[in-house]
Amino acid sequence: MNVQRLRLIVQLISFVILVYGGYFAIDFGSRLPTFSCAFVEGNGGACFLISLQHQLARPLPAFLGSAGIKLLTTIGIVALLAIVLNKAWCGWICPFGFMQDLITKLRNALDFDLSRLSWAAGRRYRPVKYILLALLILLPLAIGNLGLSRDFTAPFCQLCPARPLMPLLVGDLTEFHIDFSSLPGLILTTAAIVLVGLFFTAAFVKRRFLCSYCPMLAFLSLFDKIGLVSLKKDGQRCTRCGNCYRACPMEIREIETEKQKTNLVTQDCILCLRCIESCPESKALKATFAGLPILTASEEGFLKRQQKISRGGEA
Amino acid sequence: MGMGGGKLLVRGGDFPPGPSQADNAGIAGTQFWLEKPDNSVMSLGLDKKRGGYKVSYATGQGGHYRIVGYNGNEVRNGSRLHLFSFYEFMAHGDKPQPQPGERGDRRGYLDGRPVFELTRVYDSERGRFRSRAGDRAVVRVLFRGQPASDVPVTLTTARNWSKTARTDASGNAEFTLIKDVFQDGPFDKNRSSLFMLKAEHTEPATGQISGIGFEQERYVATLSFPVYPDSGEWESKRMAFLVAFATMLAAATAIGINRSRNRRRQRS
Repeated sequence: MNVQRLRLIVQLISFVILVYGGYFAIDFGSRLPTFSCAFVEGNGGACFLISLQHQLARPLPAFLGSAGIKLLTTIGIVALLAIVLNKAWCGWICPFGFMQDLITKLRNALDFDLSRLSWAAGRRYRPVKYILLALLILLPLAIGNLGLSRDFTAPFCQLCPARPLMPLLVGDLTEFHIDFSSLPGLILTTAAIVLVGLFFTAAFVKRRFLCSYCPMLAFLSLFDKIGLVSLKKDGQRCTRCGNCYRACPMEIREIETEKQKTNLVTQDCILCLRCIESCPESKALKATFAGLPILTASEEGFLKRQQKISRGGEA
Repeated sequence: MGMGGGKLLVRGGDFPPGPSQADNAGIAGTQFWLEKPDNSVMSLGLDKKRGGYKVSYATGQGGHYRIVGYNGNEVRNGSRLHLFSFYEFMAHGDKPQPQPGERGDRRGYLDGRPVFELTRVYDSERGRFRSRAGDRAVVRVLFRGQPASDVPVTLTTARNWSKTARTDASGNAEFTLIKDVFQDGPFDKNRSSLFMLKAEHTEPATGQISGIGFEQERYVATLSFPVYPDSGEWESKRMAFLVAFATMLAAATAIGINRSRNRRRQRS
């Protein structure tokens, strides 16, 4: 089966389970390293960032007791899940990423041009996700220890566009609002709504637009090197044709330019495996799980892609 | 009420508290229990605090908790008074599996449940965490574990507005939580107003307590809970739609301008 079709099916199943799973008595808990919003009533599993932010908003001495054990349990479970699937959480499971992929498919269907950030601009914006990750850890700590206003509770969830957007999928409008009760609330919820607007426009012209700034991707990047799923490149076989870069929804230049490194799960990679599918050089790129190959680049894959392009598909 | 624990101020006398001192005389003889989400019950100690009383509790699990106070030692006007006070709250965190209900025999309890119960019935899990002005509040009265019908239940707010409803055949009575948040200074969505529900039921019975005889038993249950401002007071959905639409329009315009500029550049 075509890998991208398989990915689409996995994404669709994950989407249904994570967004509507509660209606079928499915509950994967609230420690998933993926953007399944906890504010969706009846979700089948929720993003761990909300638990993490609430757990961090305590005085430091509390971490010596049960709060510390709970925090370590959360981090331990998320780390384990991140090690097993690595960034495939983003490329194959994330419901918010899937929604962006659907917008891309709509763009393809309407034959609307794709936009690309320049390489320099892409590099300039890369630290944004790390800054967001640092803030979502530091602000709750400041609430518990430096007396920062509770209006900053779960700051990232107030800012995250998934919070107003994803509950709409179950017909719940309650989170789609601007909060006028405090200045931090006003700023954060307005930013979230602005991001919702950008989600529908920017994601329409740039693939996975919001993923480049996602702190979850930054968190998962910590496990790039030890994740069981990895993306390997044989620099000797690569001819730098650039197909992989053009296919990459995250516009990762290193996939084309890198000759020395063998593990190419870079900080922005979402392990969608489009690069492997589009690579014309046999065995130049391959994906492995615990060292065992699961997908290898081949001429056949390249030809399939060419056929798709000739049929008017996405380049 | 987060995970970890908290303190609850216990106060006797009128509700809402008037200018007079609280009547805390009977509180010292009241026993308190914490009913946990796993169905276990823990006895709570009563501590003196600045002329009043408080109970401290620990919450290690997420889920629905209830503090139950019981005092049944008093005889007034020939009636033995069974006074139950309830306070319910939710704690965030992992919910334990409820254990098969062995809650033991306690004063005021029968078969593991308070003899006279006044409890909220919630439409959704979210409603348990926070009651808001405008919400529908359904309360259930149980006597010896069975729904008690035709029992008057009175809802009293912090500014002494009250309404009485009678329970139906399934022991339920329904109220709408009115807007009753009075506060000085800037608006604070996290500042609540305390509401109290009170139910009474009388049964004929004879007996003696400390040499004082009684001809009936009067069961009184109170349930206190905080009510927060309705989100409509501090949220605007209309503004959110407007901002989202304006952003989309601005972004689409910016993309369009950028593209036409690029096209012109390419042509030249």
